[in-house]
Amino acid sequence: MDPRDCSNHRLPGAKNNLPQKPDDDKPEKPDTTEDPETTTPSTPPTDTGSSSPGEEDPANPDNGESTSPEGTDPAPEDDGSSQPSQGSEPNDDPSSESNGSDAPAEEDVQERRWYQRGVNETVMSNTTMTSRPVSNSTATPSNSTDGADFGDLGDYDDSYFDDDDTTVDPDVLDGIAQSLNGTEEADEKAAGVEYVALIDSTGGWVLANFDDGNFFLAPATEAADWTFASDENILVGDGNDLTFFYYPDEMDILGVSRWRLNDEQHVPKTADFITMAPISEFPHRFRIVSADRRLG
Amino acid sequence: MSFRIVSELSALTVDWDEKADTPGVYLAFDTSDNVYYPAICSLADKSSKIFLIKDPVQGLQTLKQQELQYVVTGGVVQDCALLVLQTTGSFGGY
Repeated sequence: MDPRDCSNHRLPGAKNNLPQKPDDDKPEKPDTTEDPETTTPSTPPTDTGSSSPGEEDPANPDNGESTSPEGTDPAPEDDGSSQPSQGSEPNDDPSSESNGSDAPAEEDVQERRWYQRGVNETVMSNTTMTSRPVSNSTATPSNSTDGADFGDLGDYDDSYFDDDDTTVDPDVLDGIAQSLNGTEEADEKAAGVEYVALIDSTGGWVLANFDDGNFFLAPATEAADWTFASDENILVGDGNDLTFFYYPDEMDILGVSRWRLNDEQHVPKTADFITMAPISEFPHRFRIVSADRRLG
Repeated sequence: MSFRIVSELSALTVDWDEKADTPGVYLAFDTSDNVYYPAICSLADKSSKIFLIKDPVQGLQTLKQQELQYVVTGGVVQDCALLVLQTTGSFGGY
């Protein structure tokens, strides 16, 4: 069986015995894709300057058909075009970037009952993570895509990237190069790089990746084929040239994101790198949620 | 008391002891040290897909919104669950 054939690798149990929820009540999403075009007034204020309605205003009293034989025909039209001149300033629609930011921000605090941990435990400080060889100095994520519009994410493409996104910022490439120079073979030997597989909570599946960058779950018997480089338990990729990344613009707006593993040629400009690190102490509810959803 | 999950995780322990068989659940950190959870969703007529979510409770509900199939999920999501990833040992290395 081809391990990259994803058709057989379904989530165990999730498809079969979980009741298919008909549809959640969908929260009103700011459907701003067609709003800005339809709301703009369609009268271009082009030829209002040629009207010069000043001298023709006395020419047309309330009934314009009897007074003047020929000059009054353009007069009511020019008067009519003079009022919608106020339609010139709402052409720049100001509401396109403001209303998209409220999509995933709701907090349901009633389900949020995490057990408070003692503060004397080992604090995962910022220096712990950023001092790692690869996550260090991989240039700042391009969070500049603050269009905050639902439509800015583009249509879903089942391939892992768009052709327009393949150009990587030179600063990012420099950061990658510097990072890789820090993890040369000698450094890897000193650091003790090992290759591990990521096994799910059932023990039957391991995290695996397609060539296009998507992940799937392969049978755990193929664990040796689906390994990631572990530098002191910190994973940055497959140890060769594939790195984890995600889409911060999706995460900022929706709270969810696609998750990919690919080489630097296929990391979009809008992406940010992902480092996988193990957490040994968990809030109690995390285990409860994961256990009954996976096993129940 | 309602804590943000990220602030809750900041008081937790990263297994970082040069041993590959140390128990621990792998979470995703970006370059700004934001923490995300892997989640797996079963899709109708497609294979399951794996995503990252910010909130382990709300994110699972978000992934099931059918509007997201054109942006993120790429299909009709049937159900989602957190994906708890661990390691069991080394497959070699230096």
